Amino acid sequence: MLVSDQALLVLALVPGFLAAFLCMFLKRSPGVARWVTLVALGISAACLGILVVKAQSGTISIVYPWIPIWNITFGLKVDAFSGFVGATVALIGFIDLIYSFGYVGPEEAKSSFFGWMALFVAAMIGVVMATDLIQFYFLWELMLIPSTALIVHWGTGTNPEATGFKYFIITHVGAVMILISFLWMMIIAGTTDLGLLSERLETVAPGTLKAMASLLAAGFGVKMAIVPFHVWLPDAHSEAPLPVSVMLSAVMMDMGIYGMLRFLFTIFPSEVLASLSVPIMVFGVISQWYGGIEALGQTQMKRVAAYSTISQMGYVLFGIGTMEFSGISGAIFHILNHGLAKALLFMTIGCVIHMTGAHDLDETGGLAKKMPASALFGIVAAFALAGAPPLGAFQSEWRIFAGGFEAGRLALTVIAVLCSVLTAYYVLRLIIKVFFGPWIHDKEVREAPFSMLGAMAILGLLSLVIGVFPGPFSNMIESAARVLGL
Amino acid sequence: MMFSTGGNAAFVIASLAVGAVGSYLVTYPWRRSVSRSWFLGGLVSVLAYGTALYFVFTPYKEWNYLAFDGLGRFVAIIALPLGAVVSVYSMRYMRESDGAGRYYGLLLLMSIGVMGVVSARDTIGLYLFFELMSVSSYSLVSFRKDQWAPVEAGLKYVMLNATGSSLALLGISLAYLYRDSTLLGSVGWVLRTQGAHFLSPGALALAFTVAGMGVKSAMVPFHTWLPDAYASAPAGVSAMLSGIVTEMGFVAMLRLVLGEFSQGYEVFGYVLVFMALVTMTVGNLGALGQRDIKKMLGYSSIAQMGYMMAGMGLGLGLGVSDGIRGSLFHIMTHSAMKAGAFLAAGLLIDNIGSRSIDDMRGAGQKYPLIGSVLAISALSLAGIPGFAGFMSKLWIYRAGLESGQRLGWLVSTVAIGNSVLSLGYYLPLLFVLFRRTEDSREREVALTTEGQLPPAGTVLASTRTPWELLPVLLLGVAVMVLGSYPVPVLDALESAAATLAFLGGL
Repeated sequence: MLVSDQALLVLALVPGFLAAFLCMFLKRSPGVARWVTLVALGISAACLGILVVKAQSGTISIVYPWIPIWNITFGLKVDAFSGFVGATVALIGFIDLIYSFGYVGPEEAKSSFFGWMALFVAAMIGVVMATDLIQFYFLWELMLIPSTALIVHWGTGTNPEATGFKYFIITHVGAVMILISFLWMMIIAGTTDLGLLSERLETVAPGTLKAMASLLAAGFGVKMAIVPFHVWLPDAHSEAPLPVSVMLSAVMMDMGIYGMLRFLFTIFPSEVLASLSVPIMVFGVISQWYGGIEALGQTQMKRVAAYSTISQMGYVLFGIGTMEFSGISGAIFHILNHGLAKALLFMTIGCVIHMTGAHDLDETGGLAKKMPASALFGIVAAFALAGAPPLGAFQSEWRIFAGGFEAGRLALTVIAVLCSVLTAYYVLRLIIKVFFGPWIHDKEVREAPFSMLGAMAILGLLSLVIGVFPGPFSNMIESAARVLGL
Repeated sequence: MMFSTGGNAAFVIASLAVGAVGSYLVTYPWRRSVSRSWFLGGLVSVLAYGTALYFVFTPYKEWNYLAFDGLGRFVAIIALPLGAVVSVYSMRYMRESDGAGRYYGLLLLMSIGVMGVVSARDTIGLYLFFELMSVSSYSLVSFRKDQWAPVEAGLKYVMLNATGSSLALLGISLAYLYRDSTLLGSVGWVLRTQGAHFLSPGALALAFTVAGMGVKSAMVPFHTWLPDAYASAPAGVSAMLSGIVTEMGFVAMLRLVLGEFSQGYEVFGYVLVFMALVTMTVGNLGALGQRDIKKMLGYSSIAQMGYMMAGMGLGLGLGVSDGIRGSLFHIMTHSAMKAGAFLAAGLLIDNIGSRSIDDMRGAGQKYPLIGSVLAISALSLAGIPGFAGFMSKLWIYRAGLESGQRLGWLVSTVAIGNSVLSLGYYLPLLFVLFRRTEDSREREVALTTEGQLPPAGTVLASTRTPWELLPVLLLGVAVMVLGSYPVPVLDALESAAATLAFLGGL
């Protein structure tokens, strides 16, 4: 073996931070900066890929003392669950960066763009590997700074500052709810180590535990843009520069899912969770339908995709709320499948925006003639999001709904399943309006550049592979769900 | 004295005093060459601070009236490096004013006052050093005495703080009347033995002390002097005032009240908690409306004083020692981040010629180092993890929840809410600083092609030198280090917290 498992853990986390640091000194050569970033994320993705395979047979972890006098440690841990999420993050981050090569020129984007992107991805990888509450909170908030910088500085809307402000404040309030719950648990348990919390909290009154769990669910719900907390998402996701939209929509949302699953299921006993099951499912269904209906009414392409994210997070939340093995494993699987599909959809929209300059649905039409490859990927993305069988998302959606039936919530599950129709409708409406119908562009339109199409091809193929050969992937998510004690 | 791990307070003060005289004398022959006098004065001043810091780490030595305990040493570790940083910064920042000797002399006298307040062993000594500190700070606030605004701000500062000092003296005298002693903590003694009911001697002594020292520490009904004073003072002085001098009012209050009994300070704790809630909220609301960056930072200092009082109040009132730890640590982190913010803002103001935030569009990109330090300090002040402010606020939040009482939860919730509220003015500031400006590029082009002066607020080419940038950068690094790896200072912090926890009877 060339490097030890522990070295792999460090190698998965550090390159992103290192690249971000280097980009500070590469101000004059953005071309170098983007290659540095790409290589760094490539190393991260490769390490996490190896780690996720290794983690199937056992947890790999390493713990450093951080602030010994206060008993705070800095640990890196990969088990089947965090390895799966981390690998998804790194993989989509890496592909997104390849895409951004075609989408923004190095001069236009500047070195700092790539530095912030690297920091953003590295922070997310750190979040899934964290073992200590304080460490988790540090990295959780660290996601916020680069993403806000990217939204505000490179934003495409009329008032990116207002968008960034709303995004920062609302997600920060969510983080603060998490912090209060963390502090509460730390005080009662006397430890900040995630692994020790559940046994130390055994004797606590169920009412207190329920309050802690609700605070956590709400806090992570903000990051997942569950309906009462969703207000930051549509603007942030639609006005960010496209590669950043991909990261926000396809990857950052997964952090909320990861946090919710990790903390709720490893810390709290099942009685406490059972009492939260129905409320979580109801919120899930509300988000599903709200996001879908809003997506139907949008006129901007990116806003359709943004609202679709709210809806898809509703699916995931529904799956979490079932508290059943298949529901949870479906939710975990949907992290990857939604990531691939949503990234592909955003990238397709990005191709259209990049090649035609149009943002509105009304300004586009009939593009399939000139952009056949983009159209193909768009159709793949649409079918994947709609949960059509040969593609990946189908595999996760049926698990989620099966979980709903297993939990015995017949009516809720039927309402949730029906939303798939709505999803298919709005996403196909988007693709049909953009790529088919009469040609309404007055200028010459060419196909998107190769780096963009290449990145999309990887995503589309992956989605297809997962749909056709789900075996290894379902083993992975099942062991991930077992890590959570299901 | 209790919990001391070393230090020689008398030598610390002596070296600062030598520095004060020395910097005045050394600049005198060079008074006609302004820039040389600033350089020499600064050099002597830095040497004095360095020597003083050396004596903080020598073996413990107790003199009759002066000695370090854990708290004193902790304050010395904050105040002396801050003084050195401000001295280096002022070497070049102040080069256009004359009076280098006066400036450094007063700065060192102020530091003597600070060190004296924390190392004095009786109430009279403490009061005298406190007045020395106050008088030097009045003069420093109106250092630019040829302009009206600093003089006016200084006048306001003197009026309010002199009133505060007399009130505090009244409290001390009242305590002397009943205790017949000038030992530290005599106010607390009276409070304990005479009862705390309405208009009892104990309540009166406490009220006078809290109100008097509250003026100096910008507790809310007495805070009105602060934004003007900070805004009008030279940047280095603002950094020193908000970094350590304002906190000394709070520390002196603790010294006067806590001590002899090691118990029974709940009333004082509750008073602090109540004042803290009002102070942090009013400070943040005041800052929300400011467009003048120095006034905004001033109001933010008021809010941060509220955090210190909240932590200490939770510690003394509800018996949670984590509150004391958080409160003391916040003194340290606040001094790094607020001094960093003031020094960076000072350079920025110098460069663009305006104190208004509206004129700072894109300035952070033009001056990336200054802008970054300002950004780091602002995020730190807002309690974003990774930066110093979070580390100390964490303990204050935690203390409230730890108490398990409604009041504690209320304090923590209000404190957390206030941190979110403070983002309401820090984030727009950061967005303005790092705004992508099409028009700034156009202005630059206009400037080079037509050779005309740009409109007010346009970012001009940098004229900064390492002498000014170095201290600013150091403070930025300090904020990052304190926020991510505070281990090196934690021994001093724990010993200071243990001292106060002992005095407070925890």
